[in-house]
Amino acid sequence: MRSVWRKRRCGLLNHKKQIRFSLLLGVLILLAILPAYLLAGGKEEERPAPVSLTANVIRKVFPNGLTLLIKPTYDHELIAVNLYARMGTLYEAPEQVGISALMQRCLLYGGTTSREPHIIYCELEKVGAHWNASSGDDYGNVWMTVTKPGFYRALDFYFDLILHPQFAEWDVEIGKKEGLEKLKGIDDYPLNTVSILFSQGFYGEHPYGRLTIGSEETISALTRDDLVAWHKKIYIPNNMVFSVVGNVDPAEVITEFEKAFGQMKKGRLPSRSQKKAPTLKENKLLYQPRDVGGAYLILGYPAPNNLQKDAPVMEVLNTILGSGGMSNRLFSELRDKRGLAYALGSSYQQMVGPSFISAIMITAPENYQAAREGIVAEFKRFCEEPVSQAELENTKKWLKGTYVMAQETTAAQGRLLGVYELLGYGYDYSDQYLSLIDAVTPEDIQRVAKKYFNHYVLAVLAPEGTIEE
Amino acid sequence: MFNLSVAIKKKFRVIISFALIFISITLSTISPAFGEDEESIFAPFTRVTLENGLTIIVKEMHFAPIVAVDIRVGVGSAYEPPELRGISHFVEHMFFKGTKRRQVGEIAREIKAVGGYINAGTSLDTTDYYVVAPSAYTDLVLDVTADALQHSSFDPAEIDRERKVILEEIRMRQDNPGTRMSDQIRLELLKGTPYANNIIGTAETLGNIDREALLTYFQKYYVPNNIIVAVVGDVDTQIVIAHLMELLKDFKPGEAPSLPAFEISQPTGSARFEIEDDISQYFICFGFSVPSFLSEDSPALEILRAILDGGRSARLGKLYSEGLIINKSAEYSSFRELGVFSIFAATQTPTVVEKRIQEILSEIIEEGVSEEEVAIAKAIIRTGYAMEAERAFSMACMMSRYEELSSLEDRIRYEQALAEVTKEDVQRVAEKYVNPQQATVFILKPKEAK
Repeated sequence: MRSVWRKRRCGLLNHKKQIRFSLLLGVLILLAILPAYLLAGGKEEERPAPVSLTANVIRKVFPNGLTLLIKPTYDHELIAVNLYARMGTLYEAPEQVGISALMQRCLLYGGTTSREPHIIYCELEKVGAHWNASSGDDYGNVWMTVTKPGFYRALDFYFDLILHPQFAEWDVEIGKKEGLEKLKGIDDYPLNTVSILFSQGFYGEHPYGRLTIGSEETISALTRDDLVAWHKKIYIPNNMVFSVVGNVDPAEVITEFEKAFGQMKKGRLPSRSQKKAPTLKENKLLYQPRDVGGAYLILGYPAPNNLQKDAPVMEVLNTILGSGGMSNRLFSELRDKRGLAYALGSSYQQMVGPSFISAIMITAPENYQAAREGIVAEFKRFCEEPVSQAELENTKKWLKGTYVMAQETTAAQGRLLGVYELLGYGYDYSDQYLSLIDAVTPEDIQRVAKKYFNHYVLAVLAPEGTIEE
Repeated sequence: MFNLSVAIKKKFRVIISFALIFISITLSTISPAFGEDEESIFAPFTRVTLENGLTIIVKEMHFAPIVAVDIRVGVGSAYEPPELRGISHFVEHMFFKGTKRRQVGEIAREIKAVGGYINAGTSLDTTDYYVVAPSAYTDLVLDVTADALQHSSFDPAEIDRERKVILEEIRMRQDNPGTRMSDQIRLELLKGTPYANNIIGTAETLGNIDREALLTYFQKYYVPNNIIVAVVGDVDTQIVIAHLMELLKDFKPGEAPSLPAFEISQPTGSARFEIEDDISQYFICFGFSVPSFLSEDSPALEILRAILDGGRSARLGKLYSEGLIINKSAEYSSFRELGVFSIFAATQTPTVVEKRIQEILSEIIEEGVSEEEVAIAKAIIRTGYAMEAERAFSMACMMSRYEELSSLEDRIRYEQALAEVTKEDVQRVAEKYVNPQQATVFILKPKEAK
């Protein structure tokens, strides 16, 4: 294929400097400096101390309870704005499950009381804004990322979407239809099916056992009036935490928020379900036969909730077991040493309500029994023997490194600030987190394992006949 | 082994500090970073081609204490003989397994120990391996990179274990309707070229791949003159270059591989395939054979893609507001010699959606697009680039890929060419390449819908 456009500016090719270093030269340099090295004694370099990730954050709580966190940064042209608010299955009535997801979807697509959807899309996108809204089990989010020149213009539209959604009948109906069609397509992906199976097995009647998008029955019953009422209940200032990260003037940002939200009245926070997850008195197996190529397994035990003091301990344990990277115990033992699976890992779901830690694995149906026993053995190993100091230290180092890496982007920094503040950790949890992880001992891990790893829930999606019992 | 590794690191750090006194003078006079004045997320960067032909790209980004290294090898499944289909991917699985100095699992453990991660991917014409870690451990990351490149051990027991793992991967891919569909459309659109193949291989071809075959393949293609190493993040360019030069100084060049010549057939008409599957919704895909990003038409094709699916104001977004779809996307992927443009939708009303996609494309061809749409597409793409530019990992992968495809200078000029695309350009490329009359259409449909 001819490359015409790249020839247009061929003068630039003169800048292309390709240096060829002689290997001989390299050797000569090394020989020349070797004596100096030997004299220096090869002292190991000190690693830099962790830097506070939140030291320059400005926290402004308005009289009506709205919280605004601003982290000025000057490295990028990007500015990330995030809103977090309590909503989702934990706060929804059983007959209205899915209302948060539908509301968030209609915020995006239905326009506002003064602007048609297409106007909003075009105006936001003219300044290059990317934005979205979502809702999960414990909270919902509306985010926007935009470059500095278009920031205030985009902010005006972003506020409008949040404060004055139109919830037009026609759009609500489309949103409901979309939700129903998504429900139909969920089982096209075996991982979805096995995750739902596990969730239902683990949570039973607890709201977390429901799908965040709702059921056929609840979605069909939702109306525009329901959405308007729910919006009024959720989008109250004392239920909203905003974060703004990027190249901004904090005083100007505070003024913009004051103008948009200053007149709003404080309201009553949405109340959450007090239901408990079923107590496990024995292991529970949920098997769904299906004509799939592999056997999909999720095996999980209860785990501490997000604010419980054992949560950091479980986080360290989860890292050793199977999260992050290719060198955890599950990966080393079941994939590397025994070749039992391509995909496997573990996940610790720290929720506001009942939480769990689970291992997930996709294996050949004939390996099912070995895989299951292998996973259980790895969980039980934490109860039976303390982790070695070396493994623990390595894991801590990994968690700390990962934690720093997870805050690489302005959007990621904004997400963590907002979520931590909303969930009650405090926006500066990023800094405390590292010392909490540091304090975890092998004895803590064994104690927590013994406390939680008694009975498990196992969900399996596999071809007929995979499980005999 | 651990002590040896530490000793090497200590020794090297001091050597480097002295070597820099000399090398920094050499580099600063001979190799100014390219693109100081360019408006591009990739500029400035520094490139060094070693005596053995290996290219090093370094880009400093100091806003987060992170380093990412991407090793790009110019080989993928398009280079494989049919009886060894999947061998590129098999090599990829063995790469970080272990070396003469590092036992099985040790590479992953070392990187994880400092909070980093490793992974890899095989494509039709390249294979890449990446290591991402806190930048305080740049020495370790570079050492692991060079060690795996030169001393991967291909342990026989590990080969057998990994074969089982790949068989699992095959099963997993077959369970995903999206993957099934994209595989099928690529095979059809690239028919008659070396790109029309199944990257992962089959149980039969995997059975043919033994240690000897892996080593032969590795030694043939993993030669320095077929490799680009991109290092991005909170690093010092000159230290990185000096370190890699030392680590790779014994890496011997080989014969640079190339693909056999092939003809790219021009589409002569539409084709339509309906496949029944164990699914509950319909998946529709329109596929078009398009030129690679080296073509003069490529920037306009990217703008066209964004006009179709770049944001919420994009044309395919109408299908949401019409309540017709639950998911959609438009993709433009480029290989070295050719590209694929595809439009995808998940729906319960396939006939209507197929017709609407045809109408949307026909409208663009017949009536053109507006200035506003082109401006929005450019703005959305620009923010997208800025978002990618925040992540060292994304930047390292993109930089090695573009350098491998042609050169980073070409990519920078591509960004400039994007800014110059007009609405007429968009209409012209739509008519030339994305004409619904010449689409290859795949429909995956639920079995019960007979």
